[in-house]
Amino acid sequence: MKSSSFKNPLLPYVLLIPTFLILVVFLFYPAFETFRLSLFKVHPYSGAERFAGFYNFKKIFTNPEYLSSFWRSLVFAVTVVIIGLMFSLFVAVLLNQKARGMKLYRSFLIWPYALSPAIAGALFNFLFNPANGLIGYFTGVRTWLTDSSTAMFIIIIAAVWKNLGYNIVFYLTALRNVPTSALEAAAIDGAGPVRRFFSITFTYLSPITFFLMVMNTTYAYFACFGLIDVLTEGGPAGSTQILIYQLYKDFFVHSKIGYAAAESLILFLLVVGITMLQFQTTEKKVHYQ
Amino acid sequence: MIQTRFQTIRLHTLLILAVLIICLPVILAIIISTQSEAQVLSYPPRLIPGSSTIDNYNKAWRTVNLGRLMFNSGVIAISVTIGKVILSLLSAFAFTHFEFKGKQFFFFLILVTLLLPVPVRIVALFDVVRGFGWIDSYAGLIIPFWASATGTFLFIQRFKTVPVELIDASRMDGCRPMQYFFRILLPLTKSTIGALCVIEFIYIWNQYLWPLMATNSDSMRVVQIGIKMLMNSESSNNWGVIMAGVVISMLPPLLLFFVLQDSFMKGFALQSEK
Amino acid sequence: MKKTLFFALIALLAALLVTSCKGDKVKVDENAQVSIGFWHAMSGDRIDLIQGIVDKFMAENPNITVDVQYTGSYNETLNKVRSAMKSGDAPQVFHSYEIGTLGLINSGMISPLDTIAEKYDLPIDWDDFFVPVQSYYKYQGVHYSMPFNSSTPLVYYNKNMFADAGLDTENPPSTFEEIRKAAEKLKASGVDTPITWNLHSWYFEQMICLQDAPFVNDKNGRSGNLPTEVLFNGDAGRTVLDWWIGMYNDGLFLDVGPGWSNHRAAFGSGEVAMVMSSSSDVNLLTKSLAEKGWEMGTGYIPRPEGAKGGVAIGGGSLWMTNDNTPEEELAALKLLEYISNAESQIAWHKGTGYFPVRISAMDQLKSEGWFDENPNYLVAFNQLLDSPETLNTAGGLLGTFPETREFVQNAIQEAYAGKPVQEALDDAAAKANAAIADWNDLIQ
Repeated sequence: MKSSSFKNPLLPYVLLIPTFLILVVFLFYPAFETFRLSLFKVHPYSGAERFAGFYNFKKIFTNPEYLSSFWRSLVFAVTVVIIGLMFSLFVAVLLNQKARGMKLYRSFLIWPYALSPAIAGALFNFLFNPANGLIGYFTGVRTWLTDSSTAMFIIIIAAVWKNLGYNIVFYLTALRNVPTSALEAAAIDGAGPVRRFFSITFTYLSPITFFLMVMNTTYAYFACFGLIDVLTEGGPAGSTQILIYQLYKDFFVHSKIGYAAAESLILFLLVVGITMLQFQTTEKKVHYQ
Repeated sequence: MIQTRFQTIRLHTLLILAVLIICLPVILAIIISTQSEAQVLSYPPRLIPGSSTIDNYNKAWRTVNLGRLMFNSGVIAISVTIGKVILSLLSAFAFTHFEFKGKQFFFFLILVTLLLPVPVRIVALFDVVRGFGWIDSYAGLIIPFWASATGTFLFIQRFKTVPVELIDASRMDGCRPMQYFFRILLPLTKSTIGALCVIEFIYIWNQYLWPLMATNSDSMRVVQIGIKMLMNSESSNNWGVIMAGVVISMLPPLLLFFVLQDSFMKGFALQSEK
Repeated sequence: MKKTLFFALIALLAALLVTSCKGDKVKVDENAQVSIGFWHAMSGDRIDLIQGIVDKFMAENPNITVDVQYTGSYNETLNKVRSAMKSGDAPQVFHSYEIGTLGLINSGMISPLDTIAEKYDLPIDWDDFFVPVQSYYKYQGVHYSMPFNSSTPLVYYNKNMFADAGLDTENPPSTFEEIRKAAEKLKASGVDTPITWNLHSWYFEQMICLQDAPFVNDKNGRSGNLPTEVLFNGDAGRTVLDWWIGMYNDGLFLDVGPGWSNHRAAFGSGEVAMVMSSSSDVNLLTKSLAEKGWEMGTGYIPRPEGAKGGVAIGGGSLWMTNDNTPEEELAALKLLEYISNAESQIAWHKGTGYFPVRISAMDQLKSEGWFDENPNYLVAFNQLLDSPETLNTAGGLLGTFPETREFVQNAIQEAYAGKPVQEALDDAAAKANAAIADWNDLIQ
């Protein structure tokens, strides 16, 4: 850190007090408490606790609903990441060309970032709703959201759509930082635009791609709660129930407190995994710069 | 690189197509928000504005008390943003301009918070907030969100780029730490603060899960929950009214976005560098 | 000899017990100033309606102040009461849904209504309540809570479309077979998907009650023991689902998914000619058909041919917490009795479409001519009056009812997708039973 600093024995602690007060009361303590509760059976009304060891975890891992929700969330996240990143990269490459009106295009392409997942849910509900959805009228197929084989598909499209703006901005910024000299050198070597893209540009984009993968994964795992609550409430037949929705229901609707705490702990482990990935990318990026 | 006429046309066609894909749902929402129930349900669908605009917006505004919900969302988003910025500035200042015992440990603790998003601690967080009597109050939606690792890291990075000579010079002038913080550091950090503000405001405005659990009276709900309330209260799916509500509720973040687009871009850039 | 002594001792104990219970009738100062809390889960216009009823109550009982609060959905209200009990600032009266009944009975945080009524010698005239309304909240002979917002499903049909299809517009179909035949005729007359209702386990449960069959074991959860398994995968449940899925497979039934808007929208736009929905929708649906110039009729929910059961009540009731002073208890009791009196119930019915819980309220409505203006309500009332009282038609009690409903709804959706009905029901039952076992373990 800084070589030159103020000499004051007390002030830094005073400066940190507000932050740590909040951290201890609303982050560390609740997290610790949640992990502790995962080892208990909790009475749904009185809150009385009985130590239960790994009972809740055993329940979770023998519950086919939870397991399928686990894999469903994974597939959901991976699909959202792949489709979302491919489409946004394509659009960003278009936006990075030199032509008139690019700034205007840019504005109109990235603004969905400002929309919320819940709004995306309402918009797609209008399009695909079984009673009077617009797409139902056009296609004659009205079971988009009531058929368990298509509902997830609609959720994916909505989730990808909502996050396009965000992804496009990052790709655009990264594309602008690709040194033209490297591209020109490759062009002189006779590489066509497609090969140039994959051999040069894509290499430069890999750190940002990694970053976006992490951000979109978190988005798919957590932020899509609002989208699902407005669009399908986890149905039909649980086919859009991802982990966060499962947790909400088990905790808030069914009052299975110990069980929900165990689910939280599993989500925590997932976050740890994702964050470790993120740190690795940050190091890679340093290497490139 | 020279583009042929054909390539230019192709580029514009593709871009317009992309704009259409991205904007269509919202354009439709705006059109539908002007139509009466019968117009929405007419076959083939009408894709031109209808005759029920004022009615729909009026009804959407009144049915779920949208004004109140927007006010709540605004109060919450602004308070969280301000609190976060202040707390992050202070802790970033401590980390960058002081040497003190346990610095590494405190820094590590801040780092750990990245691993604890709300869903991971929601079971007990709910109890803690309830214990304070903050369920269904602004406090419960605001205070737990004041600490931010992202903000702290952002400001640490910004502060590190401030030339060392400035500190030395101000120390020579007998400047005390907080004077230096307010007079020199803050003005230099303005644009970073702006970027963080925009991003945090939108993040909090769009939050869903925590407000859903931590509020229950109609007067304390936020606008995101209002959208679902509107869909449930519209007894027969009057999409004109629902879409009017959707359009109203997406206006504030959109306005903010268009007005402060540059701050946004900067905020984005900073985010990926953290 | 020893035996006689033993029995004599028992008799003595019993007598003691009875007298001590009698002596338990607490005398409190009826006019002491007291304030109580009342948390409910009715949103929108209903907030003002409830406040209005309570205001009148306070005007008649100047020594009692009631703080009425809308505390969100049933779930949110229950969560709030639960934590308030721990911190000691719980309301005296709160509102819960019918399917939370067994949970609350075992929660250790409520006082049974009848016990309190007896304690203060203010008995409730349960004979004046509709049978399905009072029998649902009666457990082991004791009424635990005061019925409040009550409804049953009802079939609504579009008389104009019925006429076009050559169906009798005054005598709607009322059995599974009749509904199916009517739907086929309507389809032949050009209504593509003649019938719908929203995906909800409630209809399924009701049609099991109509067959006088239990939903769970241990006397439909009412034996005094916690039920250990569901029985909806038996004959009665299969009969219902066979019929339901059969209509879906033949394109007679429109699947609109869960929620309470889509099916109403489909009925209002004329896309379907029949819809099943809550009896509290009478006004709303009458109006939306009238907008298109159509006339609406109502009919009983359908049952298999020859089934002899009745409908169970759905909705919610008002409960008393158990950590109160005698003055508070008495005030809460008076509030509950006031809310259930004929006058309050008529205001409630007219404002919301929910049933008034008392027969005397219905009689008063009748003499006012209310049913001449609103003939469609009469069918809903008659459906209630026609329901016999058995443990099966009272409705099943189950601690994990909310979760069980999800399993049932998932099973129905799986059956839509082609899974054999029996298999879908058996799988759902297995999941429900596992959840019950966990819950019974937790609640100890």
